[in-house]
Amino acid sequence: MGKPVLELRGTGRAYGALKAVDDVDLTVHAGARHALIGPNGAGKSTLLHLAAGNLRPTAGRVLLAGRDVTRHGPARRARLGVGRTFQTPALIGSADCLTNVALAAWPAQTFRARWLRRDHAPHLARLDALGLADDAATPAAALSHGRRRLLELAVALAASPRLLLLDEPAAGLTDDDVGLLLTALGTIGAEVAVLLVEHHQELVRAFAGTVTVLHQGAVVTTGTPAEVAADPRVREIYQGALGAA
Amino acid sequence: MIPTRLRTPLGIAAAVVAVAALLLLPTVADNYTLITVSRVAGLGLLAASTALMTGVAGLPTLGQIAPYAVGAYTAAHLAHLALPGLVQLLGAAAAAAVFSLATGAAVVQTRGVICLMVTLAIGELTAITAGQWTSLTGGTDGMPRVPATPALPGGENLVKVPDVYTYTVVAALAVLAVTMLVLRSPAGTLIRGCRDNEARMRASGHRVSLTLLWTFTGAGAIAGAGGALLVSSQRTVSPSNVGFEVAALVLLAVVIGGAASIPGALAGVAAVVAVRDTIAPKLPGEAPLLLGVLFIAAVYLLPGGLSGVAARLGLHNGEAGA
Amino acid sequence: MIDAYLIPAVNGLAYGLLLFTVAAGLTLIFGVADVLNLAHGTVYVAGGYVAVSVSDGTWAGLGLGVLAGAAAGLVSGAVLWAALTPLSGRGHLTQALLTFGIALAGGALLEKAFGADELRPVLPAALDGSVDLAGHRFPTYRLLFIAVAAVLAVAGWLVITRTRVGARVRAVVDDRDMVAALGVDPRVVLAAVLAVGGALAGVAGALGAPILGPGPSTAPQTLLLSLIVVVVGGLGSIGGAFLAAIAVGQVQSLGVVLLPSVSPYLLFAAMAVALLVRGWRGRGVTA
Repeated sequence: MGKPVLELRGTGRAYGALKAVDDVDLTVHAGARHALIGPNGAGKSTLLHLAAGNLRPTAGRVLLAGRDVTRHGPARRARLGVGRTFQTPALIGSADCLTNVALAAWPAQTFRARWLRRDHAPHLARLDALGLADDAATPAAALSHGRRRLLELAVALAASPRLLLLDEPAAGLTDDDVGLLLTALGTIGAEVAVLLVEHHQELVRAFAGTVTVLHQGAVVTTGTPAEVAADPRVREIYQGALGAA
Repeated sequence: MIPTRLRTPLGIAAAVVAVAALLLLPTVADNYTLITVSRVAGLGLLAASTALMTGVAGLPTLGQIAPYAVGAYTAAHLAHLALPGLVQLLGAAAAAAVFSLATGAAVVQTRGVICLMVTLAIGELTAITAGQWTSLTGGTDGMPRVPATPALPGGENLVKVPDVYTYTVVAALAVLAVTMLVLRSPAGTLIRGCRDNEARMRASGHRVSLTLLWTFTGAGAIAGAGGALLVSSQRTVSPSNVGFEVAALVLLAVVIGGAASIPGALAGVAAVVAVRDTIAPKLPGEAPLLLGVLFIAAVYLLPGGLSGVAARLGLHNGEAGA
Repeated sequence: MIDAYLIPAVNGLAYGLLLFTVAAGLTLIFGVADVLNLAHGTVYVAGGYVAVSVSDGTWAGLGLGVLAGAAAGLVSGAVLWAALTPLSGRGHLTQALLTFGIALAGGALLEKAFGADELRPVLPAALDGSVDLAGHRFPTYRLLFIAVAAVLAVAGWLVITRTRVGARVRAVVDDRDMVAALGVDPRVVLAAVLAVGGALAGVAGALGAPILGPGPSTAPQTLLLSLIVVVVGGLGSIGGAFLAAIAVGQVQSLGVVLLPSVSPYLLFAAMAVALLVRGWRGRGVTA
């Protein structure tokens, strides 16, 4: 197991009396393929926002590679090596795919690379790796939903993050698109730790090495997919959730 | 290959024709026409500045008249020091940029309708200050007798109408050319990125507020240069040059031209001023009424243009999330 | 020393309460119906003009003026409603531009009808003089105005906090989607807030005419100050608008005494501080 990349320590987020995330301890190790699962309303997306800096915790701390980033906003955390995707792909709609990737790479580049020696080859290679090479000159707004997901993945990887946060990457995708996504996720190097929130069970099983189960804002258990699947508490939560639905 | 440099041949041709026509105008037109056009040059920069903020950066602003005023009064003071036109232009742009940097810190915290409110307030407050701060601005009388100066150090004083015309038009075109070049550079892509999807820009590590602050500062410099050209062309400045009605006029021009496009904004200024100068003399004293009616007409008769603009701004109800 | 600032401070209170009456309507229209009404200052001026023209130095004339002001405000609200309804869903910028155009055209028509001078109503003799206030002369009418406006503010506060309509207004300001949840036609909501907001501005124009009389420059000035009040107070917040209006009133009167040449920028400074503080507090909650 590698060094910790992301650590949440007693992290919580309350909205008045409602605790969306409550006293969570979670560690994502270098190179991990870590999935965050749980029934609807368990606080998964809130937790991801807390890790990315889109939300500020009302309790506890957030550490990135050992550094306290609790009070840093999303942009500053991104510059410290956090890449992320959103439930609805967030892209620059009027710009083409190549420009989207180039813009995402920009903050990590030197002055020279930004203004004087602009080199699009690595961005094109990134698009090519995700099967988007043909769409390099297509505006992001004109892509299909599935391809927008892939483009956002390319964008999130453009600045070579050490931590990648994926918020329900399979949501709204066809089975074919999920296959493409899984292939794309497989190309991510071991230097990138991935934390993903996902409902799609097959994707979680195929991709994740570690699974954390969240219920009512708190961590129930963390383990390998097999361990978690065998955990009676997890079964109970999912049965309860199904029973309520 | 470089996607930010997409240009259409038609657009280039239109720009070349327009620039050539402007530069050749003194050979065919009378002095009255030349004076009118040279006075529009300053307004054109004001409109370009408004279009840059509203359409390109996505911060709808009603207050670019404020840096325009700062530029105009700065240029008038520099002219009294017998400094040449170029120095006035640069000095005005610098003062307006500093002004915009100071006010922009608050403006870039806002989006959408609050930005409209705040920038409108800044514009109005500046116009009021111009009328009150007598020691600096001459109060309500303004600065009526700005001396003629040369365009460049050691040149001849700009007194003859064709000389004044050539200076203001060439200076305005130069400022516009620099603006367009910047917008075609990666800087333009950054600005449009902040407009299109702020959450994505932040998630990629961009300092969105800082980018918008620099844009606001640059737009202020452009408006300030416009103020300097106003002073060069009419050699006076008073609060009525920087008030509510001028702001409204230019806003209307930008709306008609399609806020996202700087050439469109310039065409809009030409159209609005042409309409005003044709109709207004026939209806003395009715200029504000006319302007108001034009506004209302533009809103109802140009729904495509306006909603196109609004859509780009994300100002449509329900899709303001970006 | 404090003595020298007493009269400006009381003046500022009167001014602040006047601003609150105007700005309450503006913030209501924005908070509930999501419309930025740049013609709001013009409604104030319309109320002022009709009140001045019916004023004849009697108490009846004064009362009639307030009613006429309210009526002018209602009519203005109806005009705005008729103009805005076809544009529903076209966004803030379009609405702002339309109301801006109406403000320009309406202002020009009012100037044509009532002249280019700033007008003052003829007050009943008992109100036209001044009273002794801690050794200073102070206009009687302004004291009465402070009392009346304070009553209006308290009444408004009671409506907002203690009635079912008020509860619905607060719910909608908090969450725009509540309009749909309440099952009310948004066009009716728009009509209602434009009527109430317009009437408030019209009444303010009538009551405020002896303090800030109707004239060509009054509309933009009133609009400007109420915009600042709304921004400083927090969009849609009546309580915030009240505090902001009182503060802006003091800046306008005491500020002019203390720092005359830059007093306009004191208002900007107040606005900038409010925005920056809110910006810092709000940062990190952009999901």
